[in-house]
Formats: sequence, C-alpha cells, structure tokens
Amino acid sequence: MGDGSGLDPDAILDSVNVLANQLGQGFREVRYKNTRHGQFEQRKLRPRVARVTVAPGIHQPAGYLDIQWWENGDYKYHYREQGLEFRLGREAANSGTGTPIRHFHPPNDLTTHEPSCIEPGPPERVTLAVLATWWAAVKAGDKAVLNTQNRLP
Amino acid sequence: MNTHTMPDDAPTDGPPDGPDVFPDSAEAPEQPLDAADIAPFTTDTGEYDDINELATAEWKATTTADERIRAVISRTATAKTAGEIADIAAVSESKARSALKSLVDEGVAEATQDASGTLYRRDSDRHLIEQLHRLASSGGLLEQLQAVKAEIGEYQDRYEADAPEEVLLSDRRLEDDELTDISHWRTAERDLDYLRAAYRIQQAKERVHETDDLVGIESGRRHTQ
Repeated sequence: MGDGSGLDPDAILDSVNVLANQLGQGFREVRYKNTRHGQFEQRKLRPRVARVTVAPGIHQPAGYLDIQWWENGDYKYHYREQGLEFRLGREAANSGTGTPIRHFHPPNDLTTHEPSCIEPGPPERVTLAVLATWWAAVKAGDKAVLNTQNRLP
Repeated sequence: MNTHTMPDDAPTDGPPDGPDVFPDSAEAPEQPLDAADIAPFTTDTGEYDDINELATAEWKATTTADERIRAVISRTATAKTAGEIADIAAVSESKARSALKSLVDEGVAEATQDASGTLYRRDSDRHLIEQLHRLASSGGLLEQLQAVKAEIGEYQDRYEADAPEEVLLSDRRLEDDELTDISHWRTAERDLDYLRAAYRIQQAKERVHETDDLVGIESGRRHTQ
C-alpha cells in the first residue's frame, strides 16, 4: 500500500472523527501507533494507523477497525472480531496487474482480491461507505452481506 | 547497497493478519450493545441500494457545504480546479468557487493561475503551523523523537543508505515489503522534522509563559504599591 508514498495522518484522523460522530456510544475507544513498531496508545502525535474499538460486532460484542491512509490516496480498513475479519483497500500499484485497485478481502478468504463496492472519494465518504457495509452486516448478523451494497453484477 | 535480500531480522508490522487480534471481553461494553442501541446513520439506509450514494447523502446530512470544502482543501496539497474540489466535497461548483474565495481571503487556501484558470490548494505554511501547534500541545515529544530516530536508524542500517530517496533511485524494482519500508521511512523523516519543530515551539511557549508570569507578578506589585 502507498507505493512508497508517506502515511497520511490527516486522512487517518479525519476518518476516525467520522466514526466517532456517527457511532456515538458504539465508538468505544481509539488508539494510535505513532511509529511503525510502537504500541497502540491513546495519544495521537503523527499516527501511522488508528485502531477504533466498535460495538457491537457482527457476531461478537465488539470489533477493531484499523485505519490507514497514504499520501497517494491508498487506504486500508481492516476489521477484526473474534472469528471474523475482512479488509477493504485501495492500492494504486495494482493498476495493470489484474488485481483490482479498489479491493475487498472477504472474511472467508483474506488472500483473494474481489472488486470493492466502494467508489473513489475523500476519507469521509470512504469511511462512511465502510461503515455502511459493516453496519449492514451487523444489522443482518451476517458477514455475507459485506461488500454487496452496490450495483456490481 | 545491500538491498537484494531482506535480512531475516527485518522487523515486520507485527502479525497484522493474525487470527488472534480482536477485542477481549474487557474491551467490550459492560452492558452489551446490540444493533438497536446505536444509530450510525441519520439517513434512512433502506432508501439506498448503493452505499456510495448513502455515504454521500450521509456526509451531506451531517455537515454543511462550507465544512466539507474546508475539510477537502485542508488535505489538498496539489492544486486543483474549483470543479474538482466541488466534486470531492459533494457541493455545486458555484458554491465551491465562492467558498474557496473566502478561504483564500482567510489564508487557509492559496489560489494560483494556469492556462485552464484558477487552481486551489491549502496554504502550506498555514497548514504546517496548525499541525505544529497541535503537536506542540502534546506530551512526550522527546520520547517520540527518540523512537522516530531509532526507526530511521533501522532503515538506514538495513538499506545502507542515508535517505529513502537513495533506495528509490536505485535501478532495481522494489518489492512490496521494501516499498512499505520506504513509506514508513519517508513518514519518519517528515515526522522527525515536525517533532523537532513542535518541541522547540513547546519550549518557547514555556519560556514565554514564565516571562508573562513574572511580568504579571511585577506589575501586580506595582499596582498594589
């Protein structure tokens, strides 16, 4: 991800703000890694990744959503709860490789790249779209709903 | 440069995809929440079968056009047309034009002219100062400086190079994990500059406050005499 460009702390923090505003009491906690190999901590300096604890989960009481953005517009949203994880990402370097730039790693096979239903947009819109697909799965209690809310065939 | 093989001791990002990373029971709410307890969308989600349209509608429902343009321009480092900014911020082009003009007057945005017309981007000095101001109000800057320096040292040792650009300029095609190193290395170099500047600001602020306090005491004494 990022194709060698720097991490984008502004976009990471803007994405976290959207989740905090939308989720209310469902936004349990946010922690940041301020260096690559640092521990997650509450203070934010120049975060490389944010980890938001959300509740409820799809099948569990809570989940983590890890968020990263890069200066070239790439991003990674990685959701994890016990027994289930998925990722939604954008990777410009996939251009011309046969792997979709905007992709979804589904819970049943994280190694595959399915086309993502999320269209290009600023961090706020991408975060809201990720939230929407997660929320559909939470409401349905069904991970199969993930990445289906679009007009893809 | 020893960049043909990745040494075995290359640090990784931990187990990013490990199956054992998830909230434990202590991190879950004491009173379990279910879907009925939260309402993450003010928009009626049932009205949309496309989450991109839903995301745009929700963003518009929870922010004003001015707020969205301000958010977009604050991340716009490369100049864009008012039309492009309007598109990203989900506002009309005429709204974007008038709002951008105000942001230029305010010193938040910068306008430049090219053959196709006016282009806008954030005012880079203003943005930098705001970032430094925010960082300067944080604790633990020295400790963070040390951590970032140590991280840079790891990359310098691993690639036997002083700067990430040296590695990027090599003829060899870089592997994914090497590009990830480069991303973090560049970020660490930039963060080091920010942290150093923020620390100096923090020190200056403390000195100014001490001086102000002394002046306050002095003038207080004079006042009571």
